[in-house]
Amino acid sequence: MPIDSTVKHSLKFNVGFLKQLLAGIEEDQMTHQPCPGMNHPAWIVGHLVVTMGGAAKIAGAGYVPPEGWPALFGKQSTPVGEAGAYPAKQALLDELDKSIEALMPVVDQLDADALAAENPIEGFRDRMPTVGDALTFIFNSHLGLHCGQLSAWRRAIGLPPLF
Amino acid sequence: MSSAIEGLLFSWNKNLAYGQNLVADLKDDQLAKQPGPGMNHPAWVLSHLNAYLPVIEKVIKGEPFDDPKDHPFGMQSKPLDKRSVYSPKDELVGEFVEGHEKVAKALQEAGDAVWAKPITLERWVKVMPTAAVALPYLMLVHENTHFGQLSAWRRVQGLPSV
Repeated sequence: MPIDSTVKHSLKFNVGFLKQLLAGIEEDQMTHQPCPGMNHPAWIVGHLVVTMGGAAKIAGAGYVPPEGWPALFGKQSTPVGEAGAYPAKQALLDELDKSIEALMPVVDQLDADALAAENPIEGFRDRMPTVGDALTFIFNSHLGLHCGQLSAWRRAIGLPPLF
Repeated sequence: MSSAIEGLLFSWNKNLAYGQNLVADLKDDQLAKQPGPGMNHPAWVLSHLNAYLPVIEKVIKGEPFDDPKDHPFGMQSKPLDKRSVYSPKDELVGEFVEGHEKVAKALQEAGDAVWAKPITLERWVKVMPTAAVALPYLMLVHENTHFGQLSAWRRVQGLPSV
């Protein structure tokens, strides 16, 4: 039961909120940076897809992000304000949906023992020791954080608040 | 303690550190600055999150609570660029830390019985009928969404990322 709430419910909420925040954002706005270095929508959605790739590895799902996306959207990448540098808005959103569709059936099967198992990603294990720690963080905190950045980005370019 | 509670507490403690780090290098008079119209600033975000901490504690304990939307810094309030509306930084951060610690203690003591606790606030019952649904949202999603706003607020002003 807790996996439904601690992981799946919040993931669904966050993705729904993300799509609300992006509704009405035009293609040419997706890479707009109202100030230098600000995370723009294209980078945020791509970054979340790459993070879902990490979650898939942790959960034992088969999803792998498209080639080149980890370099473009990974933690060490820097968002740039050039539209041509990123996939189109719909392609980004479709890939996010695809990653979640691949993850959910596997997450459904995780029981208490699976959640308590060691995080299989060695470089991430010191910060997120178990599968449960990592998935709870990724689907709740990490997604929520980037939704918040998007919310502030909207206000920075003069769009009305949604949250 | 179950792995679900451990996972929740793990990220909750990350929030405690991250929330403090986001404002650690800010001077008190920066806390109500709005670099863009209507942007949520640190004074409002901390006041807002602090309003939810006693609510989370009551959800864990299965006790009734007042609707946080009616709080002076609830969801219906608007961030104002008048610094005096909000408490001093030390008090805001102190309340954040103390509230976080109380929630963590309550959750540790509650154990797995916490998941079935019903939500007593009528407005929330439809979307979050039990603590099992409400706690991950209130403790992690809600806090981090506002942390994301603070993270962006910092970058708009050229402050380093945390």
